[in-house]
Amino acid sequence: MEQSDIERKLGTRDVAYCAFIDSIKSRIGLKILSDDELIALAFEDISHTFTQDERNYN
Amino acid sequence: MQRILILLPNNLGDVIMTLPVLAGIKKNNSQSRITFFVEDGFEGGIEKSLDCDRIYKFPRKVLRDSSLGNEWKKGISHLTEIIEDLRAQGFDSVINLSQHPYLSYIVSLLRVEDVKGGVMLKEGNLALRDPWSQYLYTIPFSRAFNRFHATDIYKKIAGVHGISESSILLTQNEKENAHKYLQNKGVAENSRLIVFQPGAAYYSKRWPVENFIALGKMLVKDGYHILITGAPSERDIGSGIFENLPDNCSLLSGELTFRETIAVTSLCEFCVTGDTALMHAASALQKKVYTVFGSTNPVETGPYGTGHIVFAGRCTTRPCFCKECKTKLCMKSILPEAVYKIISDTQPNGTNLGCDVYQTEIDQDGLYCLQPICGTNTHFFNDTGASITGRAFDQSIKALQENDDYLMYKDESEQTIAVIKKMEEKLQQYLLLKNSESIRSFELHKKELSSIKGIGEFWSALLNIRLNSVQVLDIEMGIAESCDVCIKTREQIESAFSV
Repeated sequence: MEQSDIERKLGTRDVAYCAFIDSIKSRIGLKILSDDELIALAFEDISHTFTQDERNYN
Repeated sequence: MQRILILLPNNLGDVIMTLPVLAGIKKNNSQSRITFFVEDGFEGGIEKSLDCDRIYKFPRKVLRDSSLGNEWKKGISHLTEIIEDLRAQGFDSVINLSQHPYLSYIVSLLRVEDVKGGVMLKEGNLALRDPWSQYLYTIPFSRAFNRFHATDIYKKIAGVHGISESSILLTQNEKENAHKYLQNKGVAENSRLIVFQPGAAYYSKRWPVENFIALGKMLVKDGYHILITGAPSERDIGSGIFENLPDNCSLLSGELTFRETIAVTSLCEFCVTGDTALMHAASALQKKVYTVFGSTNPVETGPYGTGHIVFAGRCTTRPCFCKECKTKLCMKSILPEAVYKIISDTQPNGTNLGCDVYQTEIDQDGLYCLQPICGTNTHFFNDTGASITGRAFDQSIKALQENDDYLMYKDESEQTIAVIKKMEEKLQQYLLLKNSESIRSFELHKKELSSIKGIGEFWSALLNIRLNSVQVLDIEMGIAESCDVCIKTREQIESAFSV
């Protein structure tokens, strides 16, 4: 999958997912986050990752 | 037995750069058991390594793609299982060499006491507790004050000292397959093989194709056979060279995996490349590397080892780390004739080749350095400044004194110290009076730091990284900790100038 395709698809993410992540993000700095919340934030960060190596091996 | 988890998911070259770290850890403690967390597909450089007991392949792409559409719940469950599996390994220590935030979250979830590198606090802010990880994160804000190669900083983070030998291990089978592959390509037995790796991660790191062609013609004339390597996406670049070098040249781009390319490289005399994963692989194979550097910094990511040659283009803004450069002046200033003169050892001493040329060396302390061969009008870092920042972290490093730079950096550091003292006072005042005015004054003093240039930018970045690592929910505790951070950072700066 080309990077641009992925970026396009990211724009069509599930609304419930976006609401779920936004609600956790709004609690950052206000409370101790639970393990489940930390996992969700890790997952959200992964969802935005690309590596240069997806195009070549350098 | 100490169970150690090292995390560095990509890229291929970065993973290879950790080989001396693994070797050093094993040298320190042969009973340690190392698990290397790497993204699936990026393990090529550490496969078969005797210093790595287990490779944990992380399915990042699978997880990322599951975030699309309505598969996200499955993705989160999958990630939860991975974290539980890692937790069950019972690691004694974790070394997180990556700067990806998601790994800091994962490290936090592993609940391991001894952590080096980034860990996400339960409050949601990134914490860096160990000094050399703090140093690593400071570099991008003030590159002129760092003299250490990434591998050497990784070694320092992991507590590895001195020279640690390392190399990529290939099986007999892998070598034989590489040999057979070249036979099938029609490469004559006993050919003097060299590798050209013309592709690179992005445009600014690529030496122009016409330069590879011109150099190739000279080397073919000298009796070499050129193997052009590259990923499938680099096939066009390779073809552009191959079509202009019809004799004694083979196009391999896109035909081999990275691991197979390493095996082919092991059969060659030397490798000509930009700042690429294959450059790191070739140097880890103890093959001589001639590498051309443009927008990136050979001090930080050059070919690790002794005797490799680095060509650095001349440009006043180097290393700019631009991915797309309009002029590409740095790369263009490295002429094929200059590279050929060094390879064929035909340049008279003191010749101006139009670019800077260095030879790599691992010094007696086990640290990588670049020794100038010719040129070197522009330096990648300030020797005096780097010796001062280095000394702040390691008192065995001698600060270079008796020069104007030293006095200037001392003055900038004293200005920084004076501001930090004022910050300390305001935090202490808050702890006594509990008034918000003290915090406002603290913030104003903190802003003053940005007006101090030069080495002040290094200290300021360091202090901010540490302040950002403080937990924030318990205000009093956070302020007491911030005060402690200011005091320790100030004392550390002062120690850099102690005799």
